[in-house]
Amino acid sequence: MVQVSFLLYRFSNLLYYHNTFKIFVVANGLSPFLGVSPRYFGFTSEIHCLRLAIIVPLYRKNAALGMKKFLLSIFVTLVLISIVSSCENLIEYSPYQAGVGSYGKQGNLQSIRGLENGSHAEFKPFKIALIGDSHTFYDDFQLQIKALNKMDSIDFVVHNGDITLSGIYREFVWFEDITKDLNHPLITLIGNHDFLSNGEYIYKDMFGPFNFTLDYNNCRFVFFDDTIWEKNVEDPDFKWLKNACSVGDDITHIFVFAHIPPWSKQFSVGNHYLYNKIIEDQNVSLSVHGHTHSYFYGKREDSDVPFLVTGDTEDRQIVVLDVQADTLMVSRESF
Amino acid sequence: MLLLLMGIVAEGDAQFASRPSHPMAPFIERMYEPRSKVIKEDTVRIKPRWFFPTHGKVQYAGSVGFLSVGLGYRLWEIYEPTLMYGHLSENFGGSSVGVQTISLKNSFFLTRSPWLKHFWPRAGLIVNWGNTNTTFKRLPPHYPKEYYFQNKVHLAPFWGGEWHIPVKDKHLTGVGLYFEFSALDAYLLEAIRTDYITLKDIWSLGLGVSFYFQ
Repeated sequence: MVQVSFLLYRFSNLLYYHNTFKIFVVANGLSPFLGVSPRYFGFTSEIHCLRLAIIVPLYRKNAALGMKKFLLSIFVTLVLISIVSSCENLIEYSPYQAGVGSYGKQGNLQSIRGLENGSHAEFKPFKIALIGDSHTFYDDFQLQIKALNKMDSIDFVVHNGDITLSGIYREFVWFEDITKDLNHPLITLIGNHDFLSNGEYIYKDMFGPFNFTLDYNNCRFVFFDDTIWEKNVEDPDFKWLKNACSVGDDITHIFVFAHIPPWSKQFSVGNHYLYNKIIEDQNVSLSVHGHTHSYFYGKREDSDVPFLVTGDTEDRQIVVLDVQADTLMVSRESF
Repeated sequence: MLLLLMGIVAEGDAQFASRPSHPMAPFIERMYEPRSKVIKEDTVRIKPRWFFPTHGKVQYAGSVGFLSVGLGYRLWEIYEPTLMYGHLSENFGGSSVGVQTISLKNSFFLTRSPWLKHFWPRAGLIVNWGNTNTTFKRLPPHYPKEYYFQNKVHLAPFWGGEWHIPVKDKHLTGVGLYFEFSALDAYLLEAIRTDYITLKDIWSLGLGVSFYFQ
């Protein structure tokens, strides 16, 4: 702080050239000017707006200040304060920044911890809601969240990926703003669009790892990142998938969630075969996807495992998965 | 803060880049005067140091990095282009991923002379070149045609202003404190396309200092 004051004092000397006025700046907001992260001054990165500097102009003896202009300066100050405080996220270093800004941290891990605490050791029937591909359909997405809040019977919500359009900072913040009103725990997969720009880093910071599992009511939920092209044609981590699905025979159901369905163009013939083989060998009950923007539920020729693909938010539908011991029931609810 | 400065009275003669105030000014000005040079039988007029930038900027935030620096010229009285380089990293802004940005700030003066002798309103268009693992001008060959729109270059219209203070210095004619509110094209598009995003949500504030060279 001493340094800040010193620098600002030097700055005020500069204005002395002017022979007009001297300024003392008692500044929080100005600390970034020194090339030091605001964090070092005890500010967290969640600060939305620039901390307003308080400026006290002390006029030199012979520089008279007209009443009109004094009032004008107060008026301008008030206008400035109202502009700065009414806008959120006014300070953005870059649309490609990650780890700075005003979104929650590791949301998936928090949801999983909460769910696993409330989970039963034995199987108990439950319902979950599935949504996906909300992109920037924010108006529909808001309604979707409201509709989900009205559903009391669901235990949690899974978003099947593509939460942004370009993977840039504020799109993630807006997603967070809308979903923080959700009453149910939310688990979010990464989609191909969320990989664009530096989206993968923002996702990691905001939700956690790309591949993760959840054990709930004696069911294993495997969340698998199968993005290929956006990683410069890198095969998905099938080894991890196989390990995550190998949980023994006592488990009631295994569900695999991945953004891109294995029959998409991204999957090579080998990858497609491998994915199908793993989910068949491990007796997966249902393979859930997004990406195509069109709803699909059923079996395909090349696999014994049924597939479920959620549509996009613009479809104005929520897919509800009712998990029973011996069967799965899929229904769709419009909003 | 700068708007606030605008509201405070500031008497005294405002002096701008074109009117140097330093005693060395005539000498320096001579360096800029066009001279004739005879090459073989042709006489050509040469303007020495024509390439030397007329101003430099140091800026905080504004969607081009934690701190950015740039140099530029003043052309046709109303137009001031500045080429900037912005830096953001773990130690320098706290981002978990490093971001380097090249940005061309096309700044236009909105009035013939500054308000209250010192405050000059401006607006313009910023062109940003971003660089990440997944930004591309042309899609890599493994994508189908037009799978994604290019995301390497982003445009950001901005408005703002600068408080100009003339100084007596060997190298500088003045310094300016400026602010700008810019809106990235992708954000602007969402503000138009959706009701949820409003014009209030899209601005990014940049604050900076300009140095005007002799």
